[in-house]
This record gives sequence, C-alpha cells and structure tokens, in this order.
Amino acid sequence: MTIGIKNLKVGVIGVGKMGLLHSGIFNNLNGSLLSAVSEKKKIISEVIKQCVPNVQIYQNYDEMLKNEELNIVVITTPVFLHKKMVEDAINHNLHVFVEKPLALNTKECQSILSKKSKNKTMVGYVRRFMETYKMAKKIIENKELGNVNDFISHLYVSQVFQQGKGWLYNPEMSGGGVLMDLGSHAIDMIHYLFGDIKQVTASGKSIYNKNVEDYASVKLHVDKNIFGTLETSWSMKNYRLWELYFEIHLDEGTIITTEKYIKIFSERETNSAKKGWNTFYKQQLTKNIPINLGGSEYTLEDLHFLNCIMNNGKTLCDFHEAAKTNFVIDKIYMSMKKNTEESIEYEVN
Amino acid sequence: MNLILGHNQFLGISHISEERSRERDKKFSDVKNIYNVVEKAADFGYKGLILETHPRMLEFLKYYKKNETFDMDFYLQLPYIQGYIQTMNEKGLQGLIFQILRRGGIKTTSTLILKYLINYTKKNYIPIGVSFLQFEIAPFRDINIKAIFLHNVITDLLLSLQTKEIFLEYISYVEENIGLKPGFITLNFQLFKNCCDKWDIQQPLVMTPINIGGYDMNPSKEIVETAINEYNGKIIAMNVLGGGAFALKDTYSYLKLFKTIDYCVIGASSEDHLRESMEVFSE
Repeated sequence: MTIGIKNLKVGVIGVGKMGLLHSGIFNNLNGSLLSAVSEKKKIISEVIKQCVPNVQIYQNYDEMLKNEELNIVVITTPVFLHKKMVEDAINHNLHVFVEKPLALNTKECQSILSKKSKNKTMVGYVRRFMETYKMAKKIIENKELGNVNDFISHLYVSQVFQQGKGWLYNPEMSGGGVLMDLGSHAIDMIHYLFGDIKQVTASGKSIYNKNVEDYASVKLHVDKNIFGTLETSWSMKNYRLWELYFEIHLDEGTIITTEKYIKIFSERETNSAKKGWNTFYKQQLTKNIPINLGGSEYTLEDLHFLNCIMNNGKTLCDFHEAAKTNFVIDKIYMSMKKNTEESIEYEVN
Repeated sequence: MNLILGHNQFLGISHISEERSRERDKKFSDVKNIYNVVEKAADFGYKGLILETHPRMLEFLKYYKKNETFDMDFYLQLPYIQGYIQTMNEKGLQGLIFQILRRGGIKTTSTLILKYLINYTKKNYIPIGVSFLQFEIAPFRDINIKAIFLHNVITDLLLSLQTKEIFLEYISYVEENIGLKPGFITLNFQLFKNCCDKWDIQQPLVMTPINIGGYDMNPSKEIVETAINEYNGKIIAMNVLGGGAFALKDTYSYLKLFKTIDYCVIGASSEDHLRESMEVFSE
C-alpha cells in the first residue's frame, strides 16, 4: 500500500453515534478523507446517501472492502460483530481502528491477534487521550511523587434504571454488563497508568437487568506491588455523565483525577506541582484541535492513529494492548462466578 | 454587554467537577429554586434564559407559566440529545419515537404524520428529520422565544460531513414553518463561517465559545478571533468562564476586545453570582 499525505481513504462500518463521530473527524483532518460508509440498516443507509455528499454508501461492508481502495477502516458496530469485521479488514491489508472493547472475550481476541496484522491497529479507549489522565501518567512515569502504593477508583454513570432493551443487555452479544461496557475503560486506564494486573477478586450484582450485572466491585493486585480497587455501576444516581475517578497514593503525595480535573498533593515542589495541593481543570490543560465533535479526546485519538500510520509509529492502544483488557475482564467474571482469586495470564505476550 | 442566563447549572451540570454537579442537581431538583434565580436575573437586567426540553426545564416552564411574576426572553437549544440517548437505552427506538410524538400533542402529531408519509414514500428524508423540531418546540409555544439554536453536537456533525442540504432545510423550516429566528451552536467557529461562505448562507445567528483561555476555540484562538472579527452575523459568546476556570474580570476585558459581540451567556446559580457578573459586565 502506498501512502501519501492527504490521501488516506477512510471507510466506516456502522453509522451509529460513534460511527458518525469518527466519520466527521476523519473527514476534516489533514491527511484523511471519508471515502465510504457501510450501514446494514437500509433506512439509515438511504438517509446518509441523501445527506452526505461525495461518500459511497454500502449496506454490506464486504462489498465496501472489496470495491473501495481504502487505507483505513473504522469499525463502530456492536461488539459481537467486531471479530469477523476486524479479521476481514486485516485480510484486506488495511489499517484498522475499532471501538472498544476489541472483542467479546479472550478467545475472540486471540483469534484476532493470530492474524498478525502488519498494519497499524488501534482500539478506542479514548480516555488515554484526556489531558487529566495524561498528566497523571506523566507524574507516575517520571516518579515525580515517588512510587505508587495503592489506588481507589470508580466509574459511575446514571444510565440504567430499568431492564434495558437491545444488544447491550444481552451477554451473548455484549460480552457482559457494566463491567464490559464502562468497566473496560477503567481496566484499560489501570493498564495505562500502572501496568499489568496480576490478580483479581470480584463480586457483582444485577439490580435492574436480568442477564447482566449492573454493579461490579473488583480488588486488583497490579505489578510493582500496587494494590487497588475498582467499583463500577451504570445505575448510580446523580452521575449525569460518566466519571472515572482515581485516587492514587504515592510515596510523596496523592493524585486525584477524573475527566474534568486533576488534583495533586505534593510534599515538595516538582515539575508538575508546587508543594501542597494543586488543581488543574481540563479547560486549562486542553489544547486546540482541528475540529471538536463531542470532545477533543476523540479528535486527538484519530489524529494519533493517523500520525502513527504516516510516520510508522506505535499506536498507544494497539490490538495487543487492548486485548489485555478482555483477558482481565474474563478473569473478573470468572472470579465473580466462582468466588475465587484469579491470576491473569497475558496470552498476548 | 448584554447577559443571557445559561441553564446548565439548573440541570446539575458543572464543567469542572462532578461534585459540584451533584450539589447543583440537588439544589435545583426543586424548580422553585430555578424560578427564584431566574426571577432575580430578570431583576438584575439579564436579557434572556437558555432553555431545552430537559424534563426539569419543562417543569420549570409550567411553574413559570403559573406564576409569571417577571418577563423574560427565552432562547431554545434543541434537540435534547442526552434525553434521547437515555430513552433509547431504556425503551429502544420505538419507545423514543412514541415519546417524541406524545410531546407534540394530537394536533402537531396528526398534521405532521401525513407529511411524513408523503415524504417517506418519496424517500425525501431531510424534511422528515428537520420537521421533528416541531415536537421539540411544542411545549414552548406560548412563551416569548427569541431564537432557536441547533445543538452543537448536531451543528458540528453537519459541518463535518458537509451536509449543506440539511443546513438550508433547517434555516428555511425554522423561518417559514415555525416563524422564529434560526441559530446555531458550534465549537468549530471557523469551519462554521467557512461553510456559510461556501454555501452562500447569509451569516446566521451563532453561539460559540469565546474565552481568554482559548478553550474550545477551534482550530486555534487566533484563527477564531480573526473569524469573529470578519463575521457579519450576530454572535453570542458562550463558555466565557470555562465553567469557572477563568476569572470574571479577565473574561470581560477579553470580550470587550470584540466589537461584534454584544451578547454573552453566563451561568449563575445564586443571587451573589448573578449580581457579581452583572456588576462586572455593566462596567
């Protein structure tokens, strides 16, 4: 595949909320152009055809992959469709971006990884591109406050207060409940901030849904002897938007961070903080971007993917990295079911 | 500088902290507390209030109509996307459509359904989508609406995909069928202006972030500043305080640099906030 600046053609599979978002972003970045979209639902594909000029519309993604000379494919369908679509895209020798999680379970992830894509791959764990978490990562990595000892985390949102309808609440199609949907972001962030997870012990319960958990509580033992907890629920009152909260205790201070702010307590002056408490809001940390559709982090994520393709860089969350989250989630579900402590084996290594 | 009262605080929204969100949510779950703040704003000389079809703002509206001890202009922000997502999660697409139709009442629904059927048969989808605005504005028909603003999520998506036809349909539908001034909210002002120029649209009413920190002034503060100065339409500044990240006096000094901006949206949740903002901005 020959890649030149300003000619990367993007095809999007699945035109729901995330599909539209990535379509709009890639259509406006220097170096990429939305070339085609595939949407199985006839009425939606007809609407898109009427509204969006200069873009080829397909109902069958196979035809799109065969007919269009694409460079990048973006997959934003429900997770139970990911495996086949991702593998087909790899077979077409394309760079592949897929929305999180990578697949339904460990087995599917292993199948995807066995394809050994030679192109760039990335999974949309978008919180890696939020400035507050990036700052926390930098402080930890540079040991500005010494070593991490332990952390407390939660990911809550007010979203489900009755039996949900649709694939998201069917475990065969979603891979699980809140842990898979929201919790996957938190597990990925634990990998990003602290490293590999060694052991997990978990419990969960259904409150509104019959077949999937609405609440999960996990104890984690992470590399370098870091201990932590994660509580997650989509049935938490008074959380209008998602909040992924981390309180991290280090040798010489504390970091508290969410999507909106980072608070740092430091025992001494460091590169990032003065002595005492420091607060930084996302408004102060976020830089301007070419286009903002629903959050600067999505644009930064797509820009990063594009830059990695153009400059042969390593993506921040490739399929190997993202598969780790699936492996951990499977063990968490096993721990919930068997009431045991489960050790994690990263079969990606 | 004329001030318009924002509505985020009444919905329990804070752009800097979820703790603050929860405090506000608790306070304004009683719509009487919203009414008291809006009434004070009217006393202080605020020129309007932003509204959307959030259930709490609809409750506030009922309370306002019942008491109506003050006059206020209203600016509608549509559609209420968060609510649609929530309903989709709980009730699926059919449940969402029924909820929208119920909001319109018998008259609006029966008038529009025939038009939908005709347009659907002709596969004419754009007018169907745009006319859904009728259901959104139905609860606000008997109050003093100054303009309708298309939510930035929709505006910016339309811009990003270059959907000129929907833009034009929205403008003409709001002007001709609803009889109101169409406006847009955007986080991408330069793209917005460029599209208006390219599509030969007379620069419409627009609400966009303008703040000293350059937050959400995309693609850059400098480019947006230039575009603002070149814009002939009316601009309302929003996100001027960055949710509390930027100081009030600095904000006012910055906004004064633009001759084209004479309206700005300010969020305030108490009498002291309202007074402080008005004092600084009426300097």
